[in-house]
Amino acid sequence: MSIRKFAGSFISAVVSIVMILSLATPALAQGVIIKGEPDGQNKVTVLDEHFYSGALEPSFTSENVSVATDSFGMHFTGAYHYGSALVLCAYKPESYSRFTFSIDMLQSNDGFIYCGFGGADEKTTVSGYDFNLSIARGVVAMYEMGGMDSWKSLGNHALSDALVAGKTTDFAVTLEKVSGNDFRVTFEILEEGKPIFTTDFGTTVRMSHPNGHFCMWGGMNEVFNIRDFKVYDSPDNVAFSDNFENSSLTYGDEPAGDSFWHINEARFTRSEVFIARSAGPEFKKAGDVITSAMPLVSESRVSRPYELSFKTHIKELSENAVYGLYLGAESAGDLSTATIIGVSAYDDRSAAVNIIKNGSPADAGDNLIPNSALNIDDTAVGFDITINGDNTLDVVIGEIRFGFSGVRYDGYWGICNYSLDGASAADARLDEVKLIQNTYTDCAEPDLSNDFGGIKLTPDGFEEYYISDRTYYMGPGVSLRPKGAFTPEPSLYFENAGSYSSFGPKQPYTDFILQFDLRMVSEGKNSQWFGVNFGKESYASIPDLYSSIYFEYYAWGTDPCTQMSTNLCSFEDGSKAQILDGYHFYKDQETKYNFMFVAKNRTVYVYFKEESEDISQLGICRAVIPDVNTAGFVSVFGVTGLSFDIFNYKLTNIAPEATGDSAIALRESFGSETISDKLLTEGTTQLQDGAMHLSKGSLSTKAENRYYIANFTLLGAGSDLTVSFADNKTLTLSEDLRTVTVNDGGKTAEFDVSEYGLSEYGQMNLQMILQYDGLSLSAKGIYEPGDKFATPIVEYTFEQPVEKGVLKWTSDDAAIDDVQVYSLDDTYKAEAVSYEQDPNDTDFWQEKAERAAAAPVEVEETRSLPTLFIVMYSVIGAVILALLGVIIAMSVKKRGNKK
Amino acid sequence: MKRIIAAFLASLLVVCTFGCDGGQNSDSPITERKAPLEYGLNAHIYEQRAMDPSSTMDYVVEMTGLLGVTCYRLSTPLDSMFTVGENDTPIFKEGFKQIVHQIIEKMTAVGVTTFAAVSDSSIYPTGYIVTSSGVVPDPAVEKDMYSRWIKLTAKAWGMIAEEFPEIDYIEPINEPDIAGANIFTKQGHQWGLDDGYAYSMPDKAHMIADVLYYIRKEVKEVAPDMQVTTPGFAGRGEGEEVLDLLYEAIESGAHPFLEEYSDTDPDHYFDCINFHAYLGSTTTEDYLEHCDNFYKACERHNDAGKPALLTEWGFTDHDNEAQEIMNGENMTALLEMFDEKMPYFEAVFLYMLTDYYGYSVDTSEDNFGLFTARGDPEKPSCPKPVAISFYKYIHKTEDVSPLYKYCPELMPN
Repeated sequence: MSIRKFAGSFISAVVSIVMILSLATPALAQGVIIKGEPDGQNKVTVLDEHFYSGALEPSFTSENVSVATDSFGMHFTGAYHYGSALVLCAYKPESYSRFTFSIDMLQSNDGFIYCGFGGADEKTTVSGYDFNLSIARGVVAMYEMGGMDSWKSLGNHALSDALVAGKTTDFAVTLEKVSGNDFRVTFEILEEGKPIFTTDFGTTVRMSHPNGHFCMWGGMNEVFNIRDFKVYDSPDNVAFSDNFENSSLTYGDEPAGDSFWHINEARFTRSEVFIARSAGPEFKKAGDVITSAMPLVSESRVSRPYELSFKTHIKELSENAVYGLYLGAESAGDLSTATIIGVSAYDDRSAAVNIIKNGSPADAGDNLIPNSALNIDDTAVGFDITINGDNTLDVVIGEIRFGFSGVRYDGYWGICNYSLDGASAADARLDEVKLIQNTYTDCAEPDLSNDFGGIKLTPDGFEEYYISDRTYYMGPGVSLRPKGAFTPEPSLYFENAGSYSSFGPKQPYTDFILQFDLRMVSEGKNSQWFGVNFGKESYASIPDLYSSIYFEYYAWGTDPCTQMSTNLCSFEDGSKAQILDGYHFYKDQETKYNFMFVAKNRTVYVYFKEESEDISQLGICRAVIPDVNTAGFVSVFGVTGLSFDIFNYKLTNIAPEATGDSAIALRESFGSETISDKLLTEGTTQLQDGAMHLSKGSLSTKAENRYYIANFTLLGAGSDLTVSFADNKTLTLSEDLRTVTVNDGGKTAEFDVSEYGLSEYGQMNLQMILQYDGLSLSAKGIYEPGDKFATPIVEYTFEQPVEKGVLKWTSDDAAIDDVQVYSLDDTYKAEAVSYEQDPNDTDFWQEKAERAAAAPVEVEETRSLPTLFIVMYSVIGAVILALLGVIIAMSVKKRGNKK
Repeated sequence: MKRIIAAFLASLLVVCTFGCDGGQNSDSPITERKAPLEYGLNAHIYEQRAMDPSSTMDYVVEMTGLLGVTCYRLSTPLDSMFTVGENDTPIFKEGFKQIVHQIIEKMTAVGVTTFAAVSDSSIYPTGYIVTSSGVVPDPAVEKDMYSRWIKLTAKAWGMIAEEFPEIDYIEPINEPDIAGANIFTKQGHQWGLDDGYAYSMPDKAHMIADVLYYIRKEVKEVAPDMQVTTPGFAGRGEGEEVLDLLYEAIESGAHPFLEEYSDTDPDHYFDCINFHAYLGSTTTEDYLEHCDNFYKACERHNDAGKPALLTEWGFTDHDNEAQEIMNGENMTALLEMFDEKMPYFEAVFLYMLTDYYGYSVDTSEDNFGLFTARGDPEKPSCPKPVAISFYKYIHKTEDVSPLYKYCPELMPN
């Protein structure tokens, strides 16, 4: 429905009214209000180029810029393939082998780098190695490997600051025979060749292949370089060394031959693990330019569509050349149509940050940066450019910030040496370029709810519980409890959960409320957990590969408790694990717990309570996970043999694209003559032009909600608009849209919101979130990006947690539209979706056939010739038979005549 | 008048006779062989990741030449042949590709003239992660991914057809009709487990129709004479009716599913039918009936005359000596039967050159070899009675001494 429709009649009224004094915003209780980072819903690194491959392509094109070569290493791009590892072929360990190497950590996702020992040959997959040493950011551990899934820990030690992004760490791993096939493995971190950390794990390992291969592999998307690899066969003698300058690497299906290294399965491509040989493209001459293979496109649905950064060594600048970024070119490398933002020489102390538009300097000389901040002829300097949707740019060079406006960014972009006089040029080398795109993913998928009690009749006429496998994915080990006396309450049963045991919809969601209840079946033990995955690329993917929050049975040297942890994301304070205070989900097999996860604007809010606790406890935000991709598949999962039941599953789509009422959400767009049966009107109201007009009237929900997200569009107001909820609490938006008044059961607080310019919107989207004791109001123009909701214009904390009540909009003169109310409590129950009701079980093959039959399209017929023959012969045959019949008839007639 | 009537009747007869022979799709079953039956072989080659290190390419080529067969069924598993780059682009794995070239070159040198290429695995669109390499995206819930998977698969086969023009038959799918098969399963399936994630056979038939349609289209663009076969149906699960299900899917008008039109001509989906048949514990008469019934699906669906392949047939002896002897006798009977009573087969590919070694499935699967395993330390590459019968039949000779090259001490006096 159009949300412009009511503009005319109200805009004039909106502009004229009263301004009320503001009060200071009260402090907000920690974690109560759901909001988000001001980013798009899906942050994707679309380019992260370090030029290690020694070539510009395929990331960039260039006519004449060459790539300098001065650094070497074995480069892991973060790709991970189950079972595959980099095997050292050129040297096999003896009774004493000390491996030393440096790791340049380029990106760390808190994953692991492994060293494996005892591989039978270079083709042996990881699971065939005897032992591995696992190096993570905070811990180093030794494992005996019985296949990939059953490692036995032989000990671990805490580490600090290994594998930190941007840092290089030197390691040594020594394999030393103790007796027979027993070896001691010593792990060291070195600094200038001297150990600063050492552990031998207090044990020895027994090798089945004492002279077996050594291998390395990375887990969890770690991006790193291995450099300066050496093997000592005695403490002082280097038996093998590889600085990767003359190294060789073969891939799984190639014979290893004399290769130094081999990837033991044909799963890694040459672009995933390779020998890196580059330092970056060099810009020396006027007009040197490289262009990204990926032009930028304008995106109005997020505030900051792109974040671009590059690191560069500047050796010399010129007064008559601008070295830097170009944007918005109509064709690759066409600087005459581009905007160029870069640096030029200015004087002895400073450089100028210039902007060139369509070939002409603009604002030149106004922006100066000390030469020292550019590290000229020294180390690399970073350029960080945030491209905003309103065509403004925030540019940070070194640590100095500049702003530019009116920059068209859609089009080709790259790095250039732009000469103002046709000859002058800077001398610089580009080290790395990174481009992050903040994208917006439409999500109109329906709400889902299922109490797992839907019924289907078997062919024999018996009832059994049913769930549509076209709607939901149930991984191995996940099933419905059987209907019968032993199942007093239907549930989804995770039995002895394994790697792929997960449950969730087969369609992706972006922003949502996920609710379910959970009760343990097994007792729980160390290394067992359940959790929720976000932003999966495939509904069936294993949990480890994507962001998740999980609840782990934890008894490592403590009394059993529950640890709340994150994978590939972090809590608000940067931590990744917290022992829960007051909740232990594994404490027994009787207690049921209610869980709720709200994913909104790339932030996940976590709520839970014991079922017997008051519902208000579900309003307490237990954790916030910021800056996490939630666009993708969402699933509940369990691991490592854990067994538990899930009840009352609800998934509410809270993305703006969600439409239509559902059993668990109220959505009304006033597009028909009647309104949702979840709503009531009182006083004088009118449905007109697809909107609800309140003229001394009100619109209210029938259900009493306690906590919720309420969205609505205000098309115009000729009077104050009051939204009331429980306990005589109200929020009033003044007629002139400059003041918001919150009434806390008698006590009032007024907020001056004039700075947000609501009156200029004309029509606006409003979002009100009420949870526990917190209230927030956000507003944006109807064409502004949704992430603007992330910054509330009003936040208020009530003296007591809010009680249940209806939500009511009242005005003497206002028009509202697109009302959505999403419950953050237990207002709605999950449905029992039975077979007869399931809308997904249509025969889609038949539907396609019917569609095709209704709209036939001619296709090439290879059988046309035979078919033609058959038709032709049939016609000829019919003619012949007819003639024959005539002749026979005439003959008979003649004979008859003769008679 | 009688003359006139006779003339009309004669012309009618001529027209009808001519008309019936004019199209390939007459209702008449094949009653006579159009060309001599060709014999082929299946084998595991170590360079293609077989488990027996002794079963090298050179050994397999040598034995193929020795046996005198003219056909070879190449293993071209898609996940070994390709990686998938950005934008669903299949990229040949150079090493594996070169191995296939070498096999073709070496096989051709020992007299092999006909190649069938088979895959028993899938590749997937960029970013699509599966629980098992036999998973197919669900067209009911992931139509876009299903569409991308089909196009990727078809493109890969097109690249194989272009890269290896020596191939005569493309067998894109291996035995999807076995109950609990690893191929054509839903997400959640784990390789080797009959875990309830299989699509129903009618659904599989629909999906097979789709993928065959696009594969054939891609293949014909680069190699018009190359034949695309139906999957090698095992005839288990849905039995011989599996081919009916495929025809019914095509006739339903639902395909190609990705297009708005429908195409109900089976010629646009496959050029010949293909199945796998093992004698097992049945009689040779039952075997003949089984194959005939299979083939009659073509007649039932107005597609009689379609050429047929048997890309797998053979005998397991369960490592049992009495069974070995019986298999040797049955081998001759089957070979005669193929020649004389199954004129619809263009080529039959024996499964398998050697027993398994270094890897065990079960006593049935492990013991299909004409020979014991090359790597078997006690009886390396020793001919079993089936090998002797096969060799005698092909070469029309009683001298089987060449078969004992690797185990001369075991040659009977």
